Amino acid sequence: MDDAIFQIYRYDPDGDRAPRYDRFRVPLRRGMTVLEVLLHLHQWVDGSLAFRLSCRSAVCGSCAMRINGRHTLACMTQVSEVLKTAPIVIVEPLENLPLLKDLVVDMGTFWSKMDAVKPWQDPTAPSPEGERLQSPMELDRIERESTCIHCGACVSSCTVLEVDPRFLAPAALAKAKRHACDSRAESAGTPWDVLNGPGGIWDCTRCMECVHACPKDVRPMEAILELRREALASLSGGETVGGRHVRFFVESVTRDGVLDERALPLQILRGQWLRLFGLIRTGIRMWWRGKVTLGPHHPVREVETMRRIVASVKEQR
Amino acid sequence: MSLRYAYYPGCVAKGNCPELYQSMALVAGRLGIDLVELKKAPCTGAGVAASQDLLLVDTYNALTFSMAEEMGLPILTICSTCVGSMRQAEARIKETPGRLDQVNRVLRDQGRRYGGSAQITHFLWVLLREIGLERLQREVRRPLAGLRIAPFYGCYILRPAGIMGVDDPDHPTSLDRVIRALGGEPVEYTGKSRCCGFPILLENEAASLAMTGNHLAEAVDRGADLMVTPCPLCHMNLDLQQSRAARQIGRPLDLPVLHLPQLVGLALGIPPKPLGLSRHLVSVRGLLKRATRRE
Ligand code: SF4
Ligand code: SF4
Ligand code: FES
Repeated sequence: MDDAIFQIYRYDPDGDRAPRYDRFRVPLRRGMTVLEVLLHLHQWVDGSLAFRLSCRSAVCGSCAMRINGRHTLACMTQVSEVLKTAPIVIVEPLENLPLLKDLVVDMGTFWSKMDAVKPWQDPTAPSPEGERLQSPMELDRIERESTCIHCGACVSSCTVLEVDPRFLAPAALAKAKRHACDSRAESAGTPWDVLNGPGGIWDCTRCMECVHACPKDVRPMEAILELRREALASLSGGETVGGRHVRFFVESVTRDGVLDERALPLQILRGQWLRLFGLIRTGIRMWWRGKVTLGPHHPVREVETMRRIVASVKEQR
Repeated sequence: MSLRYAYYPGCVAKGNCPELYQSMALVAGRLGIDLVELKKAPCTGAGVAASQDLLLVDTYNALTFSMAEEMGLPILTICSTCVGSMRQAEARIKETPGRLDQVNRVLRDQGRRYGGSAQITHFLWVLLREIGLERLQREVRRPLAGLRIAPFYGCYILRPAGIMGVDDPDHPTSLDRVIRALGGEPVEYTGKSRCCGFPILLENEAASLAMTGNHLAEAVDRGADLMVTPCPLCHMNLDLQQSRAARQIGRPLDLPVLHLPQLVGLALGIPPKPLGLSRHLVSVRGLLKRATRRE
């Protein structure tokens, strides 16, 4: 097999003035993973290259990094696959977590956010005589999130975390769902006030970056949406801005078939005058440019059907 | 070959971004795309309704799908969010055991039935796959020569890759290739496949505006003259909120943002006025001057 060119991010905040990329030419073996290349370089070329690993088989979650822009596991990525779409392999550390050295990041906030969602069962009912049984269907509901290996790839990819460090981010929120939806605890320790608060479930943009990144197909965003549905169905989520947004949206579509875009922000931000003022100013500029008119909102013609559908879906529940 | 579609413009094209609807009609005429509008189709749920009730979302979409099936036509959208929401619903209905029966039980009362054969596409993909870039290039009357154009894809047209299936979400190229066929020069920047921030404009305004601002700023720094997007929801942040985004990140931006059909229309030689270019909040006047000077 041919050689491959690797370009690897290097930075030691304690000694280096600025980050740099080192280029290496590496002899390839068949089936070689990116992690094996890093091991080869570490052993034979540059012993100062820093990265994490343990299992080498996509189980421990230590080796997450960015490979040609993709947030993923180095031990799960074949070099030959990467080279199918790019001439060289660029290896960089995870984003959204502080850098320690080269490809090693500080997972501190990853774990503190996990703690913040209280990821444990806290059964309030007295212990049963035997085991706490769970049906296959009940297990199904939390199976996906249970397979998380805490690698941080999703956190690195997260759009919101990039601009708001408060965001609990996909991994911790997926973990929260795993516990909130576990049938064995009548009340898991789930802190709904934290989940509904700033940086919680309503701050996710639904960009699906985390779904795309996760090497274990945990689909954290889907877990976040499930938490939202829980929060709306049974708990306090309805009075958050996010909850009001969803509720108004569904009501509007139910009423008219399509969303009443102009009424939506007015309804959701009612009472928040300063923010309303900003939006109204934008609205006036839009009107000036002929983008919006002042006429009534036009429902689609089959609105009756929509209303009946909603009623009928409710009945099915 | 005539191209005929069940046309789903989406609420934004008929609401906050009428220039999108208007420009698509003109461009479709030029390219010989026959659009039969689904006038009675409901909202796709736009990713928002999924936070309340997935069955409801699937049923809305199955209703739309049944209308298109009746017409015997594939569905065409001009909105990344619509195409994503519809494709996700279609996949859920196909893959979840019993789901098709479940939505049909609801639809039956309305005298409708979804047969499970919906085909859903976006104008961008039609340009790429049905019209073809060679033919598109031949249709160009006023090449966008010398214009540096930043493509902004929008999340829903890229992810999840398994369901959307056209672009590699980490390195999308479809919009870049269309820009090149129109004579423009695509600008490479990391923000092109990222999120515009619009979905949380009300929930977390600072974060939403920072996202939009950062992507616009990156494109400006890479020398973009304008940005183009196949998603009107992205447009609502990138254009409508641009001045506030600039304040949020503390630097001026001033980057005109066009809808995809507007960009195609310009290159096909349709005048700016009927394309609705004057309707954007970020003025395109300077841009048009530059474009005509280069002619
Ligand atoms: S879907 Fe939500 S949690 Fe996932 S990466 Fe996007 S913003 Fe973050
Ligand atoms: S959800 Fe997936 S990407 Fe995120 S930490 Fe768990 S395994 Fe890694
Ligand atoms: S080394 Fe354990 S997941 Fe890669």
